[in-house]
Amino acid sequence: MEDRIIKLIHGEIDGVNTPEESRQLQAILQENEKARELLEDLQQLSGQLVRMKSEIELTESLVNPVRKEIELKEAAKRKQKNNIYELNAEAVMSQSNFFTGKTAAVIASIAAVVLLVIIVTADFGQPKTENVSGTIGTDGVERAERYRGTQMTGDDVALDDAEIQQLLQSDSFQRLVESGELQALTSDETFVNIMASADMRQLFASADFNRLLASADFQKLAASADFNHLFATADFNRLMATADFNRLVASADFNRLFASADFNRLLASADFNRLAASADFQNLMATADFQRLAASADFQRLVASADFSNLMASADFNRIMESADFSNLAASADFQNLVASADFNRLLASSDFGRLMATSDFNRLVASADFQRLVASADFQRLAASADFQRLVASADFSNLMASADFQRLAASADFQRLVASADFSNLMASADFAGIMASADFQRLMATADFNRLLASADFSRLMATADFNRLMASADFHRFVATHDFGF
Amino acid sequence: MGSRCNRGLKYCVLITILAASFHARATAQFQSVKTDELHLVYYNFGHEYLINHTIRSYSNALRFHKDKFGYELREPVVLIMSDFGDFANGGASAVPNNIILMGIAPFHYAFETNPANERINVLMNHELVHIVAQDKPSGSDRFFRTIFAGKVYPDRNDPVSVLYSYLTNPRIYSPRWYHEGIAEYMTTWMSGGIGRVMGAYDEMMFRTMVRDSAHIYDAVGLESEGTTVDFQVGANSYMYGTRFMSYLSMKHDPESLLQWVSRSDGSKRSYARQFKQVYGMSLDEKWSAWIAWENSWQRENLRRIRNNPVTQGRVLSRRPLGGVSRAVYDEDRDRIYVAVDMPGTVSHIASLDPNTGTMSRVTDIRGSALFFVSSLTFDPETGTLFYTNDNNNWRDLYSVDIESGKSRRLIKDSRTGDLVFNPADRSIWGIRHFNGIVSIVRIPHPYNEWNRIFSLPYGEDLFDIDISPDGKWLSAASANVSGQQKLLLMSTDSLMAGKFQPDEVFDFEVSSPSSFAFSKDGKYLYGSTYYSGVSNIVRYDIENREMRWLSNAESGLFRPVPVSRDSLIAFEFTGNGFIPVRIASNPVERVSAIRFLGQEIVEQHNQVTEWMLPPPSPAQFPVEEMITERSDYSPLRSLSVVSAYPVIQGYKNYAAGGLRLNLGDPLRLHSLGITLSYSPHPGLPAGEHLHGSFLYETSSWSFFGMYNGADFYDLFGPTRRSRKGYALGVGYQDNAYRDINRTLDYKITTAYYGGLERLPEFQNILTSFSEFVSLSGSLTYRSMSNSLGAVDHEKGFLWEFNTYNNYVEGRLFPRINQNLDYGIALPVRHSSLWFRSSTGISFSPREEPLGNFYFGGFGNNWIDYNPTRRYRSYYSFPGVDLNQIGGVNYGKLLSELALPPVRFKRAGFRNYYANWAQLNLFGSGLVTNFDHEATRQRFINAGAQLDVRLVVFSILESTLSVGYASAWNYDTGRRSDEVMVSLRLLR
Repeated sequence: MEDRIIKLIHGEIDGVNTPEESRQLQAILQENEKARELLEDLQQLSGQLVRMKSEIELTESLVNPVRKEIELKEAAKRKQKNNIYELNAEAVMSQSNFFTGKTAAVIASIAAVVLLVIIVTADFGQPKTENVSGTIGTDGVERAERYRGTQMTGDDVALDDAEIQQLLQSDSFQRLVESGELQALTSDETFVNIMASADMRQLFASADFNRLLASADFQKLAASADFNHLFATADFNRLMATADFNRLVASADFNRLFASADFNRLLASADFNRLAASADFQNLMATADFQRLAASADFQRLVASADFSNLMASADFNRIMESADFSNLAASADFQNLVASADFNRLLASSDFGRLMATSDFNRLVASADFQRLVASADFQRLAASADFQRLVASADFSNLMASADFQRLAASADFQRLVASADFSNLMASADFAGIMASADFQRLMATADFNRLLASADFSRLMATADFNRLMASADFHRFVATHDFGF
Repeated sequence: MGSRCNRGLKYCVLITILAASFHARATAQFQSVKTDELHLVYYNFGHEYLINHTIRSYSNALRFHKDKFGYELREPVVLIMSDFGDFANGGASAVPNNIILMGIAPFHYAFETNPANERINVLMNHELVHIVAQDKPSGSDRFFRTIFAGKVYPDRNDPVSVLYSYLTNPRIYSPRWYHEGIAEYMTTWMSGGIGRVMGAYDEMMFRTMVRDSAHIYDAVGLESEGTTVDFQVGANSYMYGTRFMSYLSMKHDPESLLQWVSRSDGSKRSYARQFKQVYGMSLDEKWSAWIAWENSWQRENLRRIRNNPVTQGRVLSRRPLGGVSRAVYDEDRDRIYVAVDMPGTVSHIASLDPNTGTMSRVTDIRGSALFFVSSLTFDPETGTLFYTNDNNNWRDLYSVDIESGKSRRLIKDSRTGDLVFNPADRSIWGIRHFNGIVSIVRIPHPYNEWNRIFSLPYGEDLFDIDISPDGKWLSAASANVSGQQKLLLMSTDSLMAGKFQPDEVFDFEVSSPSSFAFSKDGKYLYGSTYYSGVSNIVRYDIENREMRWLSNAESGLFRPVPVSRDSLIAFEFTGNGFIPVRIASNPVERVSAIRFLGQEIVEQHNQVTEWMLPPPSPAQFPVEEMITERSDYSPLRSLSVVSAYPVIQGYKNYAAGGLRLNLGDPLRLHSLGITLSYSPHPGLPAGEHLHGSFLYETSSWSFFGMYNGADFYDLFGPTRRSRKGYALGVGYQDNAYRDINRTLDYKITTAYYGGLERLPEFQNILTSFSEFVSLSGSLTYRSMSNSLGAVDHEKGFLWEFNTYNNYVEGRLFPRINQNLDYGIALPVRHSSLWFRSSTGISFSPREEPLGNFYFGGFGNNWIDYNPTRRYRSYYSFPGVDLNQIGGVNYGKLLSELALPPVRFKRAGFRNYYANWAQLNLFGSGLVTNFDHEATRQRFINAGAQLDVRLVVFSILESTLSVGYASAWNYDTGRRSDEVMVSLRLLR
């Protein structure tokens, strides 16, 4: 049994445990049968001692002289503070009186009692032998005498960041290293630059980032097969490598949007996820028409206009069609240009669009308060109006990704939804550290490397991401320095 | 002339470019942390958690040594922290600079041959004793260190450096037992009694020797024969040395030992003369007194043991097995499998009949470990043994089929040992060492990957595990930083759930619970312990929680294997190794304890208990304040002067005097040697009086140059290396493949030569040109092995391909050859039979000297530094003159019989003695110019060479060789003879 537990048990019996220590002990006792048995034994022993103490109660004739002597000594001590010369005299007197025959008898008696108590309590710190150790079946075995000085204990060995060893020792981590992916990555100049950058250090050290990584949601997601498949797709990797994507992710607008409660509510809503997962939606997103439309200046102006936002924010889409808002919108030049555009018309005429518009998912989403609040928000409008967003949405990479089954599964997963909806995620997205990394050219280059993508896609890496040790490792300055200088040496 | 200069210049530019590329590649792989007294170097992020603890442990030990030995550190100690092996190890040297190599893995605890307390403290305590014993100077040592610009390392290129080395560091020229003895002695007391002085294994070894009336070596015989003839080999230096030191401190006092070992003003250079100065009698006399005392001490211990009935096991095999692994019992086949390592036989897994003791070989162990040989476990269902190879480095997991003997590697560098087979799910469990941490791992079928089950905190070790027959329980021995060792039981289900909740079943205090294994019914655990000071077999009743002793042994019984309800097989210690015995599985009533020499010292000289170090606390050693620098380690930037001294060389037939300058980095990764000398003799033509050379070396690269190159060994002849002219070259070598006892190396060298008179390779061949460029390369595959105590390889295979290309005046002269050697071990101990062949072809005209191969002579110099058995080289042909036979193609076959070497118990004096002698007989045939009858030459020869290994200054090995051969020209019948006498310096 651990020394720490034994100490806690002793402390509990002696009544010296702090409330926190008592709580710890209770938790241990619930799980550890041995500890419970030890506590019971010691409590029993303690009770016996109490009883023993009452059985050998000292008589008044023994106690009074001792008490008197103690009082005399206390008085001497008090006087010492006031008059040292008096003390010397008193002390000498006191000593001369101390060794009378009667006092010696008292002292001897007390010493005997104390000795008895010491002998009994010497066992106090030891649990019942049979509970922690077997016995020797015969007393005919002599133990050889071998001197041994009092040895250091584990407390005397002060280590630094030893807990990281739990991660380094794991088979997942070592397989990752031995696979060569991590080493290939660490020999990549881009990766080294990123790891050595102030942005990265800040990000890894930031409370937001670490809270997110440590969250159960993230760990579940990181461990999910969907997440890993997505990371392994060529579409995802191509998208991640585009300058548009990175500029967008680095933009203040994007970060504000991601941090907004509206956006997170929407992402977490069942409607959104049903829609995102629907084949119709995916097909539409993948069509060239949609992409051209999304990329057209008309569409972008429309989406960015206040009118459009107001429209989308209205309670009932059908009623909206008859409302003043709609009239205003319809009357606007932007809308008219859009409607008149060949792209728009091709889109409207496409079967994909038709099917999507007809789906109950789409209608429920558009009708939902979350969607309306989001679209009406200034953040969304700014983002939608940004050239980066528009280019991204219009890119084939984006469309392919949105259309991929992996993305759909991931987006539809409860893990993903919980993560995206979490405050940690929002805080991270809104943080300057995150934006700094996303905006860095090194990061963009890194995202495009095959090594990095292979690493992200590996199951071992996912398992590691789900451990708390990994977060600690990533946050350690030593690790960053190490990565920036040499390989893992396995 | 102009074009010649241009070519030379171009070549120099090429060499410079190569050097620059090398410089660019020599990026830092090491990190360094410096304090005023320590320069710690490491290479792995995973080791950083130990850095501060190491600095504190080092400083703690150094403080003690400064106080006890009056040691003053004049240069920081370079400490290399590594994890190159699966078990802790250390090494130290003070020449040319103070350096300690520390392996951070846990110790192995087989037979209790290593301490179980905190390992970095142990290593620092121990290795710093070596530094003090080697480095601490007297006034005259300091004087010579100033004269020679440092501590001189003996260099075989300039053997006169041995003398300078002795003047600057006389005490490194002391035998190993002396250095290890004092280090083990001090470590024991610095660790509060944990160490070899209190070692039960050591008591057992000497007790057994006295019981068996075995020869206890004297100080010379120990190093010449004693460290090679039994399975403990070099460990004998530790045991004898510690025992002798302990005896001295008990008979006199511990302080006298410090006086002997501590080099100071007024002390003698020689360790032996200093001994006489301190103890008033010669070392030999005192050693004899110790042996007499040891006999009486051990007789008394034997008497104590014999006070109670001694267990008499039935000896199954009189032939000692050497070191033994954990053994497993195959009930179906009624066989015991155990890995053994004995002198004269290549280490292997043996199949032992428990009834008759007959043994057969299952498969070889490659890379066996001292004492425990290998880890071994068995799957009875499939008849598969699982075992480890490369046990001194990173262990590999192998399996071998019992029936077919076919083995295969399952996981390379698994770093896992203490293997046990779980019959419940066919998984293998084991203990993995990595980054100094111990983890329980599980290797599921089909055994191609491992899963970590639980990693213990640093300092907590597990070893000798076993799994119950139902797969539900795992037993293990545990040790912690205090050296406390316990027997644990834990549920495999809990472990699989990530819970490490062991049940401590027995506390063995200062003894180790060794090799505990479950009985077939799972009710008992059988193991051994030195509880009484003697290793006896014990049985633990799991249900009743009761430990019973099953033996009262005189020497020691280990590694029990329950084979039936009423008997078990164990391995009894003898001086030559362990022998299998069968003993009854009945409890004994009484077992007497023996006395330990260490305890006697404590009782007579209690001051040793005050030598225990306090824990290296952060309060006493505030590391962050002590650290002065953290940086990358660059060998190039760290180059500095190591030493400088006068040399003497030979040039043609004349002597030259000069100076050698050595530079190097503290880790000894890079070295640069520059020699300049001058021959004043007027007989030399003008322009040949001055000589110079340089060699810059790393582990892979070498850059060299020479001008009228002179050589020390040319003072003696007959082979001459000195050449007129100049050269500049670069070489690169590396391993293409490396495994245990198997390597595939390649090497490529190019050089520009100018102003030559004779070929660089063949001294008797004059050149018709003065400059040329050479490009040579070689590819060599070696798979060689030998047994404990061998003096040479005893079996194996070698294949070598060489190409030599010379470019002269616009023409290329290419040659290629290949050598193939094959050897088998003979049944007689350390003897072997070899067949060595060589063939070659040149693609050049026959009449061109550069286009030919040349053969002849033994090739050894009177005084030499190259390999002794030169007759094995393709260009050698003893019996005819050097380079006498030539040809553009050739075929050669040599057969060689290596007779068993003779070991000397004592041949010589304390500082100058012979170790061994071996006679090799050979005969060979050579044919050149197969394709041209007119120039074809056919020769045969027969000869013998006797090599005697000599030791001078206690540690410097040299070889005296005497050879004789007769050669016959097959076509003319003409016979010629050759006698060769050669002394190879520094091995």
